[in-house]
Amino acid sequence: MTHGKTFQEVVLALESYWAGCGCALHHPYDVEKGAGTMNPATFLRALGPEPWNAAYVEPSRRPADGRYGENPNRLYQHHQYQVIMKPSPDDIQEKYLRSLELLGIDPAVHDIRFVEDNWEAPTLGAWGLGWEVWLDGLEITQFTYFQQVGGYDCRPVTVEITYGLERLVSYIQGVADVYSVVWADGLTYGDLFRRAEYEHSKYGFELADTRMLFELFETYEREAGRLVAAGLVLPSYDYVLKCSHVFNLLDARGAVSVTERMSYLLRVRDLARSVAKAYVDQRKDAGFPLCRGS
Amino acid sequence: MSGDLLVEIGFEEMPAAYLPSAVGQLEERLPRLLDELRLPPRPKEGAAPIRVYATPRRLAFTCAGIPAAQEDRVVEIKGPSAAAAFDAGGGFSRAATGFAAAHGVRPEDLEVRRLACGEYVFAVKREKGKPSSEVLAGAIPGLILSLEFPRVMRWGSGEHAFGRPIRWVLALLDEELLEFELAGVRSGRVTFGHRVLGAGPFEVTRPDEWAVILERSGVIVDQERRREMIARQVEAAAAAEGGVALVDPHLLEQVNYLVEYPTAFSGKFSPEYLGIPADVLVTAMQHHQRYFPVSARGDDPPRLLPAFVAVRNGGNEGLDLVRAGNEAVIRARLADAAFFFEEDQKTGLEDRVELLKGILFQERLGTLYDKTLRLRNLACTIARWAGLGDEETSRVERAALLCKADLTTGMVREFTELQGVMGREYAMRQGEHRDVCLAVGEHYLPTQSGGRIPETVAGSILAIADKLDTLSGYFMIGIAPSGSQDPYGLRRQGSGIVSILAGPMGGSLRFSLGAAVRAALEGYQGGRRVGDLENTACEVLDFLKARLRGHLEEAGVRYDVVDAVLAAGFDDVFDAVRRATALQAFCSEPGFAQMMVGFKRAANLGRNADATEVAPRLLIEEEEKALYHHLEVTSGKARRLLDDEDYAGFFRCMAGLKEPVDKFLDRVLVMCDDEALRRNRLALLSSVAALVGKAADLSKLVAG
Repeated sequence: MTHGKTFQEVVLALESYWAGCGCALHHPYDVEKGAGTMNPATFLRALGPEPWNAAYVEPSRRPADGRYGENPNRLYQHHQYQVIMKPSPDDIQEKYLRSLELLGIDPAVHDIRFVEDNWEAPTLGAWGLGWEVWLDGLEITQFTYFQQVGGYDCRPVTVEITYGLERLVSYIQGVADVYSVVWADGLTYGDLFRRAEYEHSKYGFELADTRMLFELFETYEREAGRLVAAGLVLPSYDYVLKCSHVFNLLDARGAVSVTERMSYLLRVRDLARSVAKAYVDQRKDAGFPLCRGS
Repeated sequence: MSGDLLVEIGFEEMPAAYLPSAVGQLEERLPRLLDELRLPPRPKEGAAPIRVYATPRRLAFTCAGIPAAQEDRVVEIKGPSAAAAFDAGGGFSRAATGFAAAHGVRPEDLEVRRLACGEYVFAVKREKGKPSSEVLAGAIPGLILSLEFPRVMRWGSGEHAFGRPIRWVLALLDEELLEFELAGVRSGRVTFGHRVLGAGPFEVTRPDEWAVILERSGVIVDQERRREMIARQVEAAAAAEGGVALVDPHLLEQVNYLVEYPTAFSGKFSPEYLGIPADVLVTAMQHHQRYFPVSARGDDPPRLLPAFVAVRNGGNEGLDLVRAGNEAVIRARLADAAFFFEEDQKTGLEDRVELLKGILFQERLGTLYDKTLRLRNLACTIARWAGLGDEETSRVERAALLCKADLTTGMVREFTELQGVMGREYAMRQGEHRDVCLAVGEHYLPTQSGGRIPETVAGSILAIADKLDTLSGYFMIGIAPSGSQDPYGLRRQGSGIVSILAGPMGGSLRFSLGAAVRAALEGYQGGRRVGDLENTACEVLDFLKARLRGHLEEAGVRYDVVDAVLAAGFDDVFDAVRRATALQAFCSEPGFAQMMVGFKRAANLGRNADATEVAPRLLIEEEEKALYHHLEVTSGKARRLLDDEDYAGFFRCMAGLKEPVDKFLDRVLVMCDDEALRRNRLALLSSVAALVGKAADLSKLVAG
């Protein structure tokens, strides 16, 4: 039995809605990452004065959350729907609530609440204030006004809306187990991802070669540093993302002691900051091209 | 002619914790501001002049009886002296014309006034009072932007900072719009209702319509009324489940500022989850979901029922959907908790101690494993000092070994606020002695100022040892609180130690605080830099002294009594508290002030003594013999009272010395020429001061 939209219908509805709100539709970035915030379309574009409106799906990998495909709501990889608007529009909450209505969530018969939540991503030198949005007690969205990114104050302020698609669609379809979610007619979430969840969990928790990963971290870190020094912002940032993912793998494997943990996080943050700086300098040199006509 | 003022600031959902403080700030500042603006409200008989309202989306205030305009006033500004204001010919000097011009009056309007110090010219300006609407429009933005929030944010392209983005401003004085701009938003006549029950916009013509319009639009603006509604509804919903709601006042306050229109409803979860410790269920419901747990009626201690009460922001429509959604959420959370509870117990606490090697306590102070080892020694040492037997001491030691182990469990990683509590629960289930379990569960207490403190001796000792270890370590590496900066919450740790020692368990915790601090510092030895141990010990003790001072003053002890008592030592905190209580009571007895006069003089003179031995053969005058005799008799008794720690009796006993002391001071010349006699008399006075000083340095007391 199923009612409500399929997973892909939800994505399509969000795509067309936010495109209608003036967002440029992006696509998932092709380097592993823990959250849509790390996509350069958010992390880099949130920097500096240029206006920016974008929306995209982001598969996000969190090795420590893997559960071998056995837990109904914890996943190695989940999907975020990410909306970024700079400067934050005055009616952004209304825009967001309208998107829920389009998905079939009538605010009149549900309880939708904005509950304080302060967001911080130490590895990105980023923090912001906002809410988690509760739908009948279930957190379905993270809603954040960025205050700082890459160590830079955000001027103007970017608002980030991150829908947790698995939770949202589970709710819409009225299923308790994410693997029963209907992705498309005749195809469940489980058909698509259960095996992947198992394999990635098995890899992350049991088989990951930690010596190789430590070496990779060092290698990626060196490469990121070398490239940012050479003024290549995007290739450098790719290696920052790789560092971050490798670190997450090591962390999930329990290979990083708490003492070392902080120092690894700081190393990633320092790289992210230097990339942010290089990006801002580069855009400035180009005369902040997207400021035209605004 | 007076008018009613209404100001409403609409914003995106403000954090619930910010609002009570914002209300308080407005209640405090508004009357002052209106006074400064010369617009004191004159409300009708019985009406409250100022009311402040808050919901998650608005902060508003009304002031009744605002005068139509400021009263006219005359401002007089003192200028140059008359001598300097006029030249030889009687005309105005440059000083006078300059002064007049600076204040916008004509020189010929300057007035000469005679003051005590001579004659001066004055500029007298008659200022017409401005219309209130103009004055208020100018002042309100500043008032609103001066509100303090724990964290502020910017939004859009603006530079304004506020708790959350400001979206509308309504400002009316009767029917007149007060025009101003606040954080980029123009004031208007429009308000918005509940997002779902009546979004608006609605035009408000007069201030008294506002609450009515909002009520119709699903907003209860009065927070007191909302709170009562919630409390009543929650009770009723719990009763419908056949139980009573466990209402934590903090949660009630939070929920009150999460809704504009409350509708409470109950939900159920599967009874199988009642096998999870109650603390976990309560935390999941209360902290994570803002639900009120439900317990069986009449059971003490409360026995949880498999139900909860939640409060929805809205009315009854679709309530079954909302209930089903919330039930699904708590089911998922409890399923997680049940999973952790089962998984965690597969590894015993003792085996988990090893895993603490992977968790950092402080970068320079090692891991929690290191801390555990230190804690074990320190807690045992303190236990022995406090007179615990071998068996009890070994339980303290066991508790110290296990107390941090729950930090490695899945449950505590998920529900961090359950640290200690889970340790207790797991320890109980693996068959540890009850004292061990309770001590593990209590050792983080108190977790907030004035919070619950440990109720067992072993728990108290472990709690003190844990805090002393933290304080000593941080002070040792130079991290001490300064000013308002206390990022590691060390003051709370210090106050925690004091409140345990001063509390009901204090009598069983008699040990030297100084020795305990030194023992804690020595615990960091073993390859690590210890620095100057004695210096650090003094810093820690000073810090604890300040916490004890704060504790006593908060308990209502006069500051000079605190001074007097602390000057006589605080190494035994429990004892210092008892002395303070007794002296405080003694101070309020009749005749105390007169008594103090003599004792203070005795103490001040006695300070010049270079000997304390009194030679009886050198006592010549009758009054000095009498004092000596009294002192001999009294000191025996006084020492017994001190031994018994009967400080009320001790101070009463000291009062008996008043008469001989006064007579001695009246009749005997202390600073006489004969050196031997003088030294003997000083020694006598100093003996008196020394005896009293065993409990308190009375010279610190302020007369009156």
